[in-house]
Amino acid sequence: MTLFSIRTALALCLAASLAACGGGSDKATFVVGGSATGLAYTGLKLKTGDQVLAVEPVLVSGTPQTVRYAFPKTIDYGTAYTLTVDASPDKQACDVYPGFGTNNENRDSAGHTATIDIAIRCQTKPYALGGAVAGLTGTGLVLINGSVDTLAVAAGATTFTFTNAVLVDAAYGVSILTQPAGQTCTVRNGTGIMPNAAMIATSANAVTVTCVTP
Amino acid sequence: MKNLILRTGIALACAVSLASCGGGSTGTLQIAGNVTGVTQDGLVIQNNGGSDLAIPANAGSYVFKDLVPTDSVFNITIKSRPLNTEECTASPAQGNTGLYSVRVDIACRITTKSLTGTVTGLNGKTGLILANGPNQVPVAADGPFEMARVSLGYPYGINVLRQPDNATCTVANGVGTIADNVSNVVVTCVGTGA
Repeated sequence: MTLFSIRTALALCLAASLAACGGGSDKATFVVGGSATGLAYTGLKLKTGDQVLAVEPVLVSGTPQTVRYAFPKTIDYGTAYTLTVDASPDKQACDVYPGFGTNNENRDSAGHTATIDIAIRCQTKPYALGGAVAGLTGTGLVLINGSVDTLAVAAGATTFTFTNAVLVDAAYGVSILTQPAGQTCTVRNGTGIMPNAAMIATSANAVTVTCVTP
Repeated sequence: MKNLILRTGIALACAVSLASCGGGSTGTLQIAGNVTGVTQDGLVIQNNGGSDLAIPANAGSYVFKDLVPTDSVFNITIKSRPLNTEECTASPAQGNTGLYSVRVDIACRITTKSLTGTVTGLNGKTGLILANGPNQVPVAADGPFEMARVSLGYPYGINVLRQPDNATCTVANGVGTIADNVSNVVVTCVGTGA
């Protein structure tokens, strides 16, 4: 009885799927598409087969919206496809998510799922925020980056790096929360917009903390 | 044979679980979860009005020692919360254990205070942007400005991210640690010709 009903169901299923394929002569076609989240900059290119598709960001009040994408050429039922990120925006890392293999790609064949819907995830690059320290002999210097990071700097240090990375194009502002014992420090170039690289002691407009003993 | 081993195993497991609970608990399921927003001592939670579980500062997670029975009602309540928080919530606070151990996360929201000040000397110059770390606030005219609220106990450091056109602004009382609302930040701008 159980076996019988399973067979019946399978037969029905097969009939239905054939019908959906137009009786088997004309193959169904599929659009390779999906959505990208977090896309904040121009420059994303996706690739499947011989098609490369540029996907543009949509921002509302500076916040990236989920954008749908679809490759212009459709593929036939049963065609194997691979989707990869061909290029990410300069300031972001985009990937197929979840992805597979060393190329972090999406592989399947058209018709395995009702529609092809592949998610792309873009994340704005984070970089370390640091700088140079000169003349620090006292103990107790504490630097802050606004309200988001606090860093104690040891006597004798010539560089510093905050714990939390800062996203490209985000503002940073380094201030002295606590002066070291017996010294007065000042910050030069303490505030700016994070470039597409780490801020270090030798960067252009590097954050520089200079301490003097009165 | 297999059955016998299984039964022995269950019996042993029961014995162990009874022993570990001091014989007082009849349950087999754990209630546990993650804890966020707790930077001070003072958080105490209960299940069904039972014994207190104190969760210390910066604990990332908790586990109720007492195991609870399958298919029983749980009701996690916040008996007290850290002094620097506005609210603590358990989710899901209530429910039925069913067959598996239950995860109930506790999230506390740390009290925030306002961070405000006054700008003088702009006299119509435009383009000034103040920043507290990543928080940017454009200032269009002389008068009061308001930065994003800051959690109690956190530092703040206000900088001039962008100077206005044809003026230079400096910040006084721009650095400190939030103990209450801050309103004494003073930004003074001096025109540079034009």
